[in-house]
Amino acid sequence: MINDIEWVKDRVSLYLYNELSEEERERFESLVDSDPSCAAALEIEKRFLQSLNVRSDDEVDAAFLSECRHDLSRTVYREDQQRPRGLTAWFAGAWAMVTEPQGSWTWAVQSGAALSLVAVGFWAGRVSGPEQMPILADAQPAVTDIAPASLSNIEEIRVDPGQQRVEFVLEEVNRRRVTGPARDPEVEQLLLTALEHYPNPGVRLELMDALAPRSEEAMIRAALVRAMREDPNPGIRLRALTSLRDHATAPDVRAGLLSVLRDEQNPGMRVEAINLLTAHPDRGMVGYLQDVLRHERAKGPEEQNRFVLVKCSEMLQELNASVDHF
Amino acid sequence: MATVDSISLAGGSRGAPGGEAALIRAAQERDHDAFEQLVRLYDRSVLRVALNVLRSEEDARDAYQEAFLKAYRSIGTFRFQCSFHTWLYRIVTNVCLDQLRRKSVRKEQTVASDPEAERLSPLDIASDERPGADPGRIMDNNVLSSRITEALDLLTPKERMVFELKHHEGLRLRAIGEMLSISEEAAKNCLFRATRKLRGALGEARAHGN
Repeated sequence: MINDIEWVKDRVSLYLYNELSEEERERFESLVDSDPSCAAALEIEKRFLQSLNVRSDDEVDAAFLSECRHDLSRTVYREDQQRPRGLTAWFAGAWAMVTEPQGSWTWAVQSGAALSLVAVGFWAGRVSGPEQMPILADAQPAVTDIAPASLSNIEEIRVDPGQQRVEFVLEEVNRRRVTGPARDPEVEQLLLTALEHYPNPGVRLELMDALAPRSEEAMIRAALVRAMREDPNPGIRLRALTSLRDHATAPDVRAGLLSVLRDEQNPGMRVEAINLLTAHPDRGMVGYLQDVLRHERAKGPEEQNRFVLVKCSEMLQELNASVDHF
Repeated sequence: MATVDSISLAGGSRGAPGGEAALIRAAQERDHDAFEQLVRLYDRSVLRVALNVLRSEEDARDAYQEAFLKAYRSIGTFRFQCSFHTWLYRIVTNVCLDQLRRKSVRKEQTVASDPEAERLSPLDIASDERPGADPGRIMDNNVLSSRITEALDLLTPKERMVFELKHHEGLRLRAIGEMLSISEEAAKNCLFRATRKLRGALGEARAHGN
């Protein structure tokens, strides 16, 4: 019997994790049914494993997840921008094959590649010119320096008296004109940066109207969500919110709307946010809505937004969640 | 405790248009939207694992970025010889294990190089791994949670990862072994050691009246 108890204790966690073989499981259950001490060991282990659940967070905070997604989207975009494209990528791949060929074809590949390069060079010399070789034409946006670079800051100076040399690390400002199609990645990145940082709100509004039709694209949508949450101008924040109407069920947009509902001062924004959220109720919003209710009730009567209170309560009731004071 | 034994990954089972296989192939062709959809299928659970294992939002965010960026860079090498979930979690677990190991090294280096360290008693610096020690750190409303967190520090990075994937994610030990490049038996032993250490630590804590 002592051996049976030890046997059960050695396997009790695997039993509860459903990791015993069929044979072991049958023996385990037989011992538990017949021996009270084995049954007690099982109960103790059950309570122990259940107690370990107190620290787990089954729900990841939606806003945090949204931030992670946004950061990843930007990182992937930057990663992709640094990747060689088109013919450059082809040459990069071919060059890699020549300089690092695999297996027994090393000599043949390198010789063949060398001959090919000579042939290409000869042919290119006969027919080259951008008008004859459109595939080699520059597809990048046009960048023109408007003024010479000007010094803005000296970060470091190192002096080597022995060598009579001085080393500077400088910051310079380059004024440039960039012209290109709005869908060019480099131009698009500038548009998104301007949407966030350009000082003139009228220009930011125009940029937003230009980008809003492309809100199904992840980078654009992320920029619009950020504008909805953070732009200092309430008109632009509202325009961003309305431009995201068709994506109200997307997790990043919904997280943004909940953030607006909780933190936004402008009542019009909050009303729009609650209207969009109530159109697509989801149990994942219960905690946030209860938080908004609590926050709203804590305000003085003059500051409370009755529409938000009523709508939140209605949505919680629809989701069978508590609207009582908590 | 999660009761899911496996995660079904049949094409289209998660509602993704064209099925997961189609998304993977598109992502391998550098289709950003396809990769984003793949990310959305798994990233909530990936972030949950990272948060539970690393216990730090900042570290979990870094692990999330690093894991998915590695996935993006190497998705072209995925040959459908295992499930995408297993392939992705192999990356995630390695990233989390590396972070856990770096954290242990940082803790040791901080003790060694911090000039303040010389003025402090070693007991103030080194984490006291005896269960029930240093009761002043326990928060009133989260006593058990704090105890469990401390008990988890007793586990090796691999034990912690196996425990997290089994207990909270409900994965099979065989799948966990594949992700960690260890045998199922080794994963089982890790889990056994992990639960034994936790049981011992929490049992002693209760015995000391905490």
